[in-house]
Amino acid sequence: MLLHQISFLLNAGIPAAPSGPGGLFLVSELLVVTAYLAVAGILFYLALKRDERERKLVLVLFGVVALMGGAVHLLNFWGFSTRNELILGLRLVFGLLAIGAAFLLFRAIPGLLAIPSQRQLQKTNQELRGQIQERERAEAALRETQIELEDRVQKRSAQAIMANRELEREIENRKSAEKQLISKNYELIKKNADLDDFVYYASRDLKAPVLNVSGLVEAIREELPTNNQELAQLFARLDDSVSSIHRKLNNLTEVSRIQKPLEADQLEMVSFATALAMVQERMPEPLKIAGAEVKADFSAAPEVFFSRDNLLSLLTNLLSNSIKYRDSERPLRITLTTRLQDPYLVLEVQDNGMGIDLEQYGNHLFSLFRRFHDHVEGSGVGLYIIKRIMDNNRGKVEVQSVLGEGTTFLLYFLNHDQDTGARV
Amino acid sequence: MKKLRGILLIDDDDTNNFLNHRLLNRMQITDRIKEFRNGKQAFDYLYNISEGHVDLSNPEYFKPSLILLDINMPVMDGFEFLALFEKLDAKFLEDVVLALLTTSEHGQDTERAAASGIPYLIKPLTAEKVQELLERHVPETEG
Repeated sequence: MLLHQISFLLNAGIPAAPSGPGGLFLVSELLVVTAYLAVAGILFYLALKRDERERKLVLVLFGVVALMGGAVHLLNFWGFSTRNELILGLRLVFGLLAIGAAFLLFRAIPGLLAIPSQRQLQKTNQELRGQIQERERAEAALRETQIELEDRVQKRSAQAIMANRELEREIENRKSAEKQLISKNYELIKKNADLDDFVYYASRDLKAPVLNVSGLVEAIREELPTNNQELAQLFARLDDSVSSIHRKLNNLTEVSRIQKPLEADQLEMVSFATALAMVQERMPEPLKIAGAEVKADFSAAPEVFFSRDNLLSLLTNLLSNSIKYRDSERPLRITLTTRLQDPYLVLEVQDNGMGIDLEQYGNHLFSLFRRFHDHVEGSGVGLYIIKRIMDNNRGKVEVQSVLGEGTTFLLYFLNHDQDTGARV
Repeated sequence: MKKLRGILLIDDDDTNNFLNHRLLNRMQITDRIKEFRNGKQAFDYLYNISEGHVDLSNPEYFKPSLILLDINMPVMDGFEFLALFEKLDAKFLEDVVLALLTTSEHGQDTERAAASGIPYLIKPLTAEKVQELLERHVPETEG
């Protein structure tokens, strides 16, 4: 369109071109006009292509100024021949338009100043690129960190899984160990029971031949003359030995008997007074020989939920212990009392006997077949039986003693009530 | 004192039988004492007599007044013997006293004997124990 415009101008100018100095003027005018119009055309074209509003406006304004300049010069071709007033008017209009455009340009200065230069833009661009690169680097670093983290997480999970597996293995091991323990325990219980049975049957079966021996000794004595001193002494020793074997066997039977666990139906409410009376009735001779005075006060707790057989055994052993280890300097006094001491029922059996050196013997006091005196007949099972019976019933035994003053046995019965006892 | 028809000693322990035999002989409460080593032999003997399968004029065979029965024996023990013995003819058993002999004062055997209501004697057998048993269970021997 610009080219068309130019060619139109050229076409319009050339036929009017005069010759001579006036002609030269016209040629130079034509060149100026062409230049103006070309510049205006270029500026408009640029304005059309530019997409920023600010620049478009500026280019259009420049274009208008150029166009006006061109137009004023164009008028020169016309001005020599035709009406001067019209030309002058047009010139004025064009001048005004150009001034207007220049004014508008002046107004646009701040806007134009705000437009960054190419270099600035390039610089900004570079900066931006730098920023982008930095960001990319940061991103890469981030990614690396992330990968590292993921790696770590994976490693950790792997470790956790390993640890878990180890734990599972450990649990399995423990379980099997527990199973082994249980089976070992079961074996031990069985072995213990077998041993108890063995002791029980051995002591029972040995009794018959011992009885036979004592019977035969008796028979021989009857067949022999009675006036032989020597023989009488031998027989006395033989009798002693046989009765000692017999007593020991009885003790063994007793020990094996109390080691058997109790059946629930063997438990009942047993009166301490009744049990004590039975025991005293069974052992009148020893009590009489010792000149013992037995005092009892069971008013605080008259009964206990227990095996009658076991309670009789406890009292028998406690009384015979007091009798055996009485102080020969003073008459034996045995005091039996009961009291409640939550959660126990306590049976206290106190005597004024020789006393026991607890520091020396305390640890072995309740051991089987341990004896601490040789001046009296004993087998070392009495206290063991007491302890066993209390242990079997989840109770306990305590002993307090002062040498030369006496001994106190404290028997603690747990679940002494019918109601609580049933849970045993 | 009226003498007993006869006594059976049932015990696998020979020496014990010997000693008891000797004791009863010396007590002179019977002329006829027979020993058996286990329950089976004793039961066969008693069964044949109760059924009349044997000649009672033979001194080897007699109906006992008293049977002393040990508990622990091979082949047939005291309680097994007891179970069969109680099934014998009731008339035959009327005037037969049976007592168990045991070694232990405590224990299952004693408890079982006490529970069955049958008199039992703790070994060793003595003249006093025999006397007391007879006074309690064989009326004609009293005094």
